[in-house]
Amino acid sequence: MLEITNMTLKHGQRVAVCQTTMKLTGGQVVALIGVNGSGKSTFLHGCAGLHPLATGSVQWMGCDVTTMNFISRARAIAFVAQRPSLAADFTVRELVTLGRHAGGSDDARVQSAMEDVGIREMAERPFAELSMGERQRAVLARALAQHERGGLLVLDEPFSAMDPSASLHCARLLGEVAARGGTVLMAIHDLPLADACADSVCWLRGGVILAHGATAEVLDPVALGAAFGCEFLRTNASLALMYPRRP
Amino acid sequence: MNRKRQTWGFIILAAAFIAAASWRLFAPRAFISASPVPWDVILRLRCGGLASAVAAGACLGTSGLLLQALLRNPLASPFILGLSSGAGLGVALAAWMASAGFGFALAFGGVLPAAVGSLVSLLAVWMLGRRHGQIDPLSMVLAGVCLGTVASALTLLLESLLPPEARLPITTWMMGRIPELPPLDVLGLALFASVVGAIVSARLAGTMDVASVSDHEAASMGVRLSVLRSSLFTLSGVLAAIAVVLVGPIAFVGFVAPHIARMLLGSRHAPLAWAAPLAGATVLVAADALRQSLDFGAGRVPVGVLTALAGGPVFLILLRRSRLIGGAN
Repeated sequence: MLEITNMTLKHGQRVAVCQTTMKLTGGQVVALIGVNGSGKSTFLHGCAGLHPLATGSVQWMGCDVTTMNFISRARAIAFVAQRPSLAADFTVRELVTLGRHAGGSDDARVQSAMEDVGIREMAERPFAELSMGERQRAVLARALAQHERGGLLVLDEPFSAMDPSASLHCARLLGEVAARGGTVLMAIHDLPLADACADSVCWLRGGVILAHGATAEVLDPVALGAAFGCEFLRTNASLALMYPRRP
Repeated sequence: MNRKRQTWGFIILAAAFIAAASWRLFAPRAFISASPVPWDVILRLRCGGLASAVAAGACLGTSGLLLQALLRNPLASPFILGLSSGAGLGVALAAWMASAGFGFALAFGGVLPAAVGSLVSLLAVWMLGRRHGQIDPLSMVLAGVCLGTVASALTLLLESLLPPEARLPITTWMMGRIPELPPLDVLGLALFASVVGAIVSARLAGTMDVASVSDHEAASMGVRLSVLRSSLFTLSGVLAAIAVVLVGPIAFVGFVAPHIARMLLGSRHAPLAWAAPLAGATVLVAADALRQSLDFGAGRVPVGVLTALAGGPVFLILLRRSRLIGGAN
């Protein structure tokens, strides 16, 4: 269980996330939504123990993530940044293998993570030659190779450059991770996709949690339309975003 | 696939090293001379020159590899970042103090002032080469070039203040010269440091691999970046300083050696920890052998001139490539 209590995060003097409190139980996919600059990435960094807390605490399974041993934390929490970067000229397989740094070498886990994400055929290609969507799949595979059963996956816009088919495939994969007891917390801008794959949604505005609850409740088309300035429509089964045609 | 490539990479490097070392030991003084080299020359002079080049080249190769990992910048090297010039300034300052009666300043061959100069330069480049808290490869290279130029100018100033009899050794040392009769304490220290440097690099290899992703992702994978960076920072600075004390501020060996090793063995740091010092030793021995075989009729060509002539174009090619792909960061 992830337990966030009065968490305040700052960039210099500017408060990015203010006094947030939230509890996440295991076995669910939680979508973090909000407009640009609402504090989503900083919130995720705080949850993963990667940003110093100005106030409050973040606990994973009763342990404070900011003071946990680095290796123990890496075994419990895997993190994917918004923009994947790599200074070395590694192949996809070498990149995914990095995920096993804390948990110990395991070629089968690496292979299975690549197969799950659908990048097995790219294994020997240099990471630098991949498209941005393919890179996102590769770093997701790295996080899956790192992720231990029952652990926490913190993902910052993991599908932003993927095509719809890859996004849906990876979103379903995260659902399977949650079904096996894992917890997935991800920032996402594709609200229909969040509606399709998340068990619950947390809505951030100005660094404060505006709403947190079941997906269908939080993703209310009227409220979303007012906040994002677009028209949303809920049909029987899913949420749709309606872009107005150019006049 | 990778293991096969690594095996072949090591075989090629080892063969190149043996060829370069044989050339350095047995080739006649100039290409035009066909007379064999007497054994006493080989044993008395050339073995010393070979050992010096191997130790300094290995130290520079490891230092370059660690700097490129530390700064996430394939253009980093002890010379380009001003470490060599900083170490040179430290030694020149110590020599000037020694000439003024403070002999202790040059104790143990000047290793201490060289290490201080090298580490101060690295610290300054580290601070100047960051923008908004992130490493900026181009800013870092420019900061290193500027600091290196200032350090070289100050070294020249100190050199001009030295008594005439103390100037010549400093002048030839500053041009980069492999000693055939090296001070045994400095040579022993350099050989020891090159082995320790390779062992420590091999121990840190997995962590260096992970540190090639962004800071937050590396930390999330269990890497204590502050500890890793302190280790790389200190080790690369000390290795560069020891090499400078032994052979002078030689350009581009520390830059080219990791690239040669990567080209042959791939980018994982575990094999590179052994291949980069081997490549550094091979490059410096080959340059010294070439220097030995060239005769322009005006005495010995400083080996630093040859490494700069060969390394400069390689640096420009890689600089262009790294800018084309949007920098290393």
